This record gives sequence, C-alpha cells and structure tokens, in this order.
Amino acid sequence: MAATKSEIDYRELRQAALAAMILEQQQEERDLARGVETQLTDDEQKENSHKIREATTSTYTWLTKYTKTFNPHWKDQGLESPYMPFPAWPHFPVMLELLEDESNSDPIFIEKSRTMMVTWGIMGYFTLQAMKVPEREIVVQTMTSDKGELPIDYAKCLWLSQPEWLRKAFPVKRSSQYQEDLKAVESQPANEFRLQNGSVIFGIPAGAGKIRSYHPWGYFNDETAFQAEAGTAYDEALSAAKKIVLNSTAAASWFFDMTNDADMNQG
Amino acid sequence: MEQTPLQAAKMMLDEVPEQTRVEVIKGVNIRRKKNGLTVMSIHYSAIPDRDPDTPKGSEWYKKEHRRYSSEAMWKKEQEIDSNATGGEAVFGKILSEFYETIVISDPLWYPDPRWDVVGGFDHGVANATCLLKAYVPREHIDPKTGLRAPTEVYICGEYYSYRRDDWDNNVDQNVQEMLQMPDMDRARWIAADPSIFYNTEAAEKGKPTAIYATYHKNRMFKMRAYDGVRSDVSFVQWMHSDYWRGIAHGRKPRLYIVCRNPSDRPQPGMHPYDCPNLLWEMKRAKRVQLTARQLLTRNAAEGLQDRNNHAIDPLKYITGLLRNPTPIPAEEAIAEEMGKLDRFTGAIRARFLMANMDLKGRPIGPDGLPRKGKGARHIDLRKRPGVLPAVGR
Repeated sequence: MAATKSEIDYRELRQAALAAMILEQQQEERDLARGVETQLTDDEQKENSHKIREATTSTYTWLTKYTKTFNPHWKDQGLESPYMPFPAWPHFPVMLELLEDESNSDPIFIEKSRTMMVTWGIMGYFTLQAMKVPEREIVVQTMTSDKGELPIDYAKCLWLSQPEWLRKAFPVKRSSQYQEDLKAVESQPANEFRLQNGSVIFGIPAGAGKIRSYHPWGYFNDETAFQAEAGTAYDEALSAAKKIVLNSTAAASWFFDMTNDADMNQG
Repeated sequence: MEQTPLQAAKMMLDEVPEQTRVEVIKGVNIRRKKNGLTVMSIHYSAIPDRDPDTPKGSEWYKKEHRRYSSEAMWKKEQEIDSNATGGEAVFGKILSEFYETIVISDPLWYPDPRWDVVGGFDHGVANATCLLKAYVPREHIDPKTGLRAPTEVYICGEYYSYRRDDWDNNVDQNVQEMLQMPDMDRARWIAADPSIFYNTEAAEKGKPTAIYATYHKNRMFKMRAYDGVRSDVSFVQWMHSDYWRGIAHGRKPRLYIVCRNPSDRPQPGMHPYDCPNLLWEMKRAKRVQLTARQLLTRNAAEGLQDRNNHAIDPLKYITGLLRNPTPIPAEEAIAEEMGKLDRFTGAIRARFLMANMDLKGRPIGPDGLPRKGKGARHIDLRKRPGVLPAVGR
C-alpha cells in the first residue's frame, strides 16, 4: 500500500512563519521609532479585551459612557464644550433594547416628538454594529443629499469621540498606516464612513430607486414622513436589508398612514 | 431573570387587539400593526425635564409651547399628531366640539322602520368603494309651531371596501356584499358618481360600456347619476349653514351620523347601522393648502384635498339631493340685515323690521329677540299715509 502524501506542506509553513516573524520585527522597529509601546503582555491584553468587551457590550453603555455627541447649542446652553456625553434619558435603554433584539428581524417603526435625539441613538446602534461586525454594510436614507450626510457626520463624531483604546480596537479605514484618526475620518467622502474591518455606512438621499445598487445588512430611513417616495423606498429596502428601522416626527404622510394601518395604497 | 419593561410590554401586546398602545415607560409606548410589525412612539414626556407633571417639565412645556406659531404646529411637532396641520380641517372642529350632538352613539338606537331610505355611492377599485345609507323621516307638521318641520337625515349604515390582500375589490364581489345591507331593498334611490354612467370601459366586443352596466347586471337597479351640485366648497357650506346650522346655539342638527364603533383608521367591510369610515374621513377632510409662493398670487384655496373622500362623496350626493334649507330664524335674519347698515339707517330699519314682525304676529323687541304679548309700537308703512299715520296699539 502506497504511503499517502501529507496534505501539510511544511516547507511553505516554515516560510510563512519566517515572514510573520520578519513583519513582527519590522513593526516593532517602527513602533520604537514612533515611541509607541504596543507590545502588551498577555495579562494586559486580556485586561484590554475585557475593557473593550465591557465598553461595547450594549449600545446604551457605549453611548453613555464611552463616546460623546455634538450639541450645536452648547454656547447658548452655557456648556463648556459642544461634545457632551450622551444624555441618560429613560427612553434610550428601551429604544435600544428594541433595536438590539436579535430575535426580531421585522422592520421597526419609530414615531417621535422633536429633539429627542432618536436619530443619534439609532446612528449609535448602527455605528457600533459596523465597528463590532466585519463587512457590515449599512445604508442611511434621509430627506435630501445634504441631510443624507448628516447622519454620517453623527457616526463619524461618535467614532472620533471614543477613547483612544477603543479607536485602536475598531480602526477606521485610512490611506496610510501613519494617518491620524481625525485626518483619516476627514479624508473619507462626506456620505461614507468606512472602517478597517470592511464595514461601511453610506448616506443616500430620499427617493425611489436610490437603494437599488446597495445590498446592505442595515437600512435606516430617517424622517420618513418627509420623504416623497418613502413607501417605494421602503419596499425596495425590504428585499435587500436585514435590519430595517424607520424613524420620523409627525406629518400627514405614507409613514403615518402605514403605522396606523390607514394605508389604502392610494399614493 | 427579571423582565425588562419592554419585554413586559411586548408580552402584553399579544393579549390586546392590534393598534392598542401599551405603555413601556412614561412617554414611550409600543403597538402592533395588523401585520404584526412593531411601532414605537416616543413622546417628549419620556424626558423627566420635559414631563409637564414635573415642576421643571411644566416650565419647559410653557416656554416651549408658546414659541410655536400655532397650536397645530405644536401638536404636529411635539404631540406626534400627523394630521394637526396641512390645511384647515373643515369638519374637525364641529365634530370634536359637537360630537355628542351630531353622532348617535347609543348602542340601542335603530331607525324607525317607517322612515324612507336613500343611498349614496362612490365607485373605486384601487381606491375605496363606498355605499352610504340614509334614513329620512317623513315630513310632518311641528305641533308646537304649526310649521312644517325641516327634513332630517340619519346617515346610518355603510359598506366601505378597498383592495386588500384577500380582496380584489371588483364590482361582482362588492355588489354581493352591498345587497346584504339591511333596508337597501326599499331604497327610493341611490345617487352615484356620474362618471360610472359614461361609456368609458373597453368591452371584449363592440363599443365601450359604462361601469354602471356591471352593477346593473348584478342587480343594483336603483342607482342613478347624481346631477346636483358637485362643488366641495358648496358641500362644506351647506353642511355648516344648513344641516348643522346653529347647533352652537342649541339648535338641533338636521343631519345625524350613527356610529357606535368609531375608529382611528378605515374599517373595511359592511357596517349595517354604523358609519365609522364616514366619520374617519370627515375628521380628516382638509382644505387644499397652498404654498407661501402660491399665496403671493392666489387667494387661499377653499376646495378640499382629493384624498380619503370616498365616503364624503356619497354624503355629498345624498345631502345635495335632499336639500331643503333650514328656515332662517327671524332674529338671525334681522341681525344679518342690521350688520350691513350704519347706525343711523340701522335705527330706522330696525324700527321697520320690528313693526313688520309685529304685523306678522311674531313680535320682537329692539334686541331682536321674540317678545311674548306686546311688541313694539309700529307704523304700518305698507299703507298709504293719511293725514295722520296709522299708529298701532
């Protein structure tokens, strides 16, 4: 009986290990040159992982303790800085629990009063999802193109406002390894937010047919009641996206007819 | 493990009818749509600093509320009322303030079997098809006044149907249902949308036919084309100034809507003695709203929005054909006449009108209100003046 040839090519394996060692050494040299201490002991690494896991265990924890929002009225409200921790309002844990419920894959509709920071909260949920899960594509559709960029700004702001160790754990996509975080984020297109892990959040304007070229995991439609073709856009998203969230303040529209079961396909 | 408020609310959703709001925490509630999807509503009172029940929230409410340009805008932006703005709600006010006067909610109320029956009909396929039934008591003499009592109309029963998942909403299906409507067999007429009588439907063979032909084939014989006034502006006008004239001053309405099952959304199907869809549409009926730019060159529009008017149109057909205007009370007529005059002419004219009413046997005082017994001294201006004017009483 002829001896079967081993499927493992040890020569190739040795070469790969050598290459990895060389790369590791090069990295160490570079880090030394930059004055950055990156080599962590096992215990330190374990502690770091634990810290990261704890910070990102739920969207509410991450939003309220580990990142900040931008408040454009900070001066009028007598605050020290426009970047403030997320307010611990009672509706956030409830809303985020609804969004995070993995057992519910149905679209979620949220109707709200003005200035409840619901858009911030939902963007927080999708940003954390993009950070934690590689290759997540998320599409955010809003009223006009300018507005389409606003939720992307929210995502960028939330990412940038994290402590450095969290930014390092979930890096953004950058053109060179040495690019600073702020520059890396600013150099991305206004309607896109890309992370190193392949996840991306796109901002698209309102209207039918706009989502057709995307196949996202998540779809967030903001201020749906103010979008003329929101009904068609929603139907188009249904077949492509897994997590769908629609959010709006009140206006006589398809959105409110549908949430109240008053829609009679009358356009 | 302890249940979260959301989990508890979700469990409760399984036990309540669709669209029932279940409170999760103050200001936040969830409900299920009829297809099972979840809707969350987040009201400003969820934030303690904005909750009007707290001192700080009450302050915020007062400050914020007065900043809005109108109550409607506040309701839209903060109270999550999607229908608060977007044109004047033409029947909204009267139906909210005088709901108990106009709408018969008594579960034991049924029409008198001696009353006449008439109908109004609007055809639709993708839109709603609606048949409204009205009862009209026979004319009678009011024993108190000796005058003929004006016609009363009781809108009592509707069939309302639009295309749904399990319903194509075609003529054959709808007619079978409509023929089950109680008392429609003795309807004197059913006034229908005139457009269904035009030969516009392509036929397999020969010339185009009218949609009505299909209804007729299915034994809906009593339909006739409505040939009255079709203007929405006139309709709103006659509803307010005729059928519901003076109800703010205690007068009886001449048109009643029977509804024991009002709803915030359409209720397709047969409602033998109730009109939930008519009420739903009337509450939402709004005038067309022009943009600020359009208003620079046009007057404010008075027409109604062409939306959710499938039950309103049949009501227009019924009321448009039964019109028998409410007599205007003398005091109202006088007040209207007087309003047009200046103070000097008004005094002379008032004297003349008082004298005139006295001659008719219905004396009134200078305030325009009826007087029992002696009325004003009058000069009969209809007679030729002699040497001395004829002074009454």
